[in-house]
Amino acid sequence: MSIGVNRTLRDTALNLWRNIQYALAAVLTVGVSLTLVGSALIAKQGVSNATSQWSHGVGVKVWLNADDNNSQVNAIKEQLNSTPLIKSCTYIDHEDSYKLMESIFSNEPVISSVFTPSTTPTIFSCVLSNPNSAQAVNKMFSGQPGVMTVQYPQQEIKTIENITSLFQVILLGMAGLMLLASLILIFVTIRMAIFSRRREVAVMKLVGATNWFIRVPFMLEGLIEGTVGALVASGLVYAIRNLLSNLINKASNYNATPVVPGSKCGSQNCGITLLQSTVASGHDVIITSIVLIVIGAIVGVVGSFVAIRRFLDV
Amino acid sequence: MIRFENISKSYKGTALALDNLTVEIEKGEFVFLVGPSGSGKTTFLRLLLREEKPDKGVIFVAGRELKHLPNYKVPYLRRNIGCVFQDFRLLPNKTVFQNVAFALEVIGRSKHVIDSKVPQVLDLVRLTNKANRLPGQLSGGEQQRVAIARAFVNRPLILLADEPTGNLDPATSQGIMKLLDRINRTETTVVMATHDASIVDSMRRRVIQLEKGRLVRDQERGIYGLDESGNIEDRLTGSIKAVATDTSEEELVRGRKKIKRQSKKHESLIGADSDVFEDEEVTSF
Repeated sequence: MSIGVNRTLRDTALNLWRNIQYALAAVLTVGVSLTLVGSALIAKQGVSNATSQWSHGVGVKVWLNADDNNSQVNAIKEQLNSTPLIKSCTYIDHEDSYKLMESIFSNEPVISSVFTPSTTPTIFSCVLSNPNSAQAVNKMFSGQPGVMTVQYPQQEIKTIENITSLFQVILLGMAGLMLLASLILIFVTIRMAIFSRRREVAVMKLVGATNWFIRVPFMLEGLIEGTVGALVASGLVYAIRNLLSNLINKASNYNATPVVPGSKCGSQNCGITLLQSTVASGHDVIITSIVLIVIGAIVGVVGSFVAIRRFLDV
Repeated sequence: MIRFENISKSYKGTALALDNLTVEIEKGEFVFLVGPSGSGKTTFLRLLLREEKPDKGVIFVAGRELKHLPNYKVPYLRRNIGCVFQDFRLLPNKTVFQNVAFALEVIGRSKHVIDSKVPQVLDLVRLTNKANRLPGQLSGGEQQRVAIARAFVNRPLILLADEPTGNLDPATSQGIMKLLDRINRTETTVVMATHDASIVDSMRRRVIQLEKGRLVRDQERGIYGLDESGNIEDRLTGSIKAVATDTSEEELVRGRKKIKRQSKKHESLIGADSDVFEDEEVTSF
């Protein structure tokens, strides 16, 4: 038995070595395509991590017209305090709101020069008692006198999710094509291996080697190419994720712009924290790697099996 | 050992390759399969190896019925059949030893078995001193002996030889025939397809002649046969012919029995004519 196993492994290694260029091409194609798959998966995970955080901590912002008088502001404040949909609110007055606006548009002095504190809209930043009631709050306040607009994160999250799912579709589509390419490449590689060993195969058939004994080295070759490609992809995905997280961590050392003003993470690092949460955890990377390895193995086995069925007449 | 019953086989768009052929070969026989190109010799061998299935009829080989033999069992059938070809079919990048060992390796024999059996069979074919050569460094006759060693190392019940001397000069062919004869003496059934009249004539073994897929002659201790006019020719005195073109199976069998009786008589009169081949002790192998 052990001689059979030894032989099979030796044959496989020999096949790979003889067809090294094809094997490398197959491995790299599998690698690249699975990197795309992995990136799509990781991005999806990152976005869902981030959006789940956002929908918990962030509430609704009610923007008031800049020229509102106090009574209008008070009336709205009254309403906000009385409705059970809202837990608490902070009022961002002209001065604070202007500072916020200035910092947001610090790169675009033309825009910030248009505003003065008195022409900057004021904002009620509110925490919802239930994250799902944002829509109701929106209905309640938009169109009321003195209210400019109601802004709630669900919309933004939806937009972000739409964009990421579009990205995912594109990534996965490309990945699918690449996977098809790698399938074909593995198919061709195995075909070449079968061709280069046709004499041996003929003799094996003649002296009564079993069909599986003849097939297994070729299938193993495909399996190895697929799996090694998947390992390459896992490495690349891990590297990309680390690169991103390094970049984001470095950026957080600067006094960066708060992306969601007035929320409870109103400190200077708020935006970065949100961005950081889009970096997938090590756990996600491991799960993704496992998925990639399984896909790679399947591609390898299927590619080689089809080639064996077509070209290895046993 | 081998039985073809009313076998017909045709390839797409061509005439019948085998036409209602019925033949039986007993264990330990040495049979020449003769006939012009396209007479169905190769089809006969391919059917035997179950590389193909017959259209009609039943084939028994080594106790197995081939038509209903499932594919996964075919390798086990082939372990009972050794094959030798005109073009040797050795692996050029393996040494003589490795070529022979390959046949055992791929059917899962242990290293221990390989190390004991391969030298034995190399000794039988007289190639012990060339065990580490590559096929390219051997003469044609030596290569064919390696091929025979490979076919025989697993001790098959049947040895098929398709024109084994087709590429060899007469003297070398003689050596190969000697070897096949020795193998035949170990109770191995040998079926050899050939065009070499002198070999058939000198061996005086059973001859099965095919023509257009039909059995036209089945002769004990036969000769190659056809002269230029296409008739079976009685070139050697005492040879008995049994023309089977229009004879039934019963007649054939009767004819063969008669031939056996007569050839025994013949043998006792002139003594065993195969002394040439008795210079080797094979049973110890």
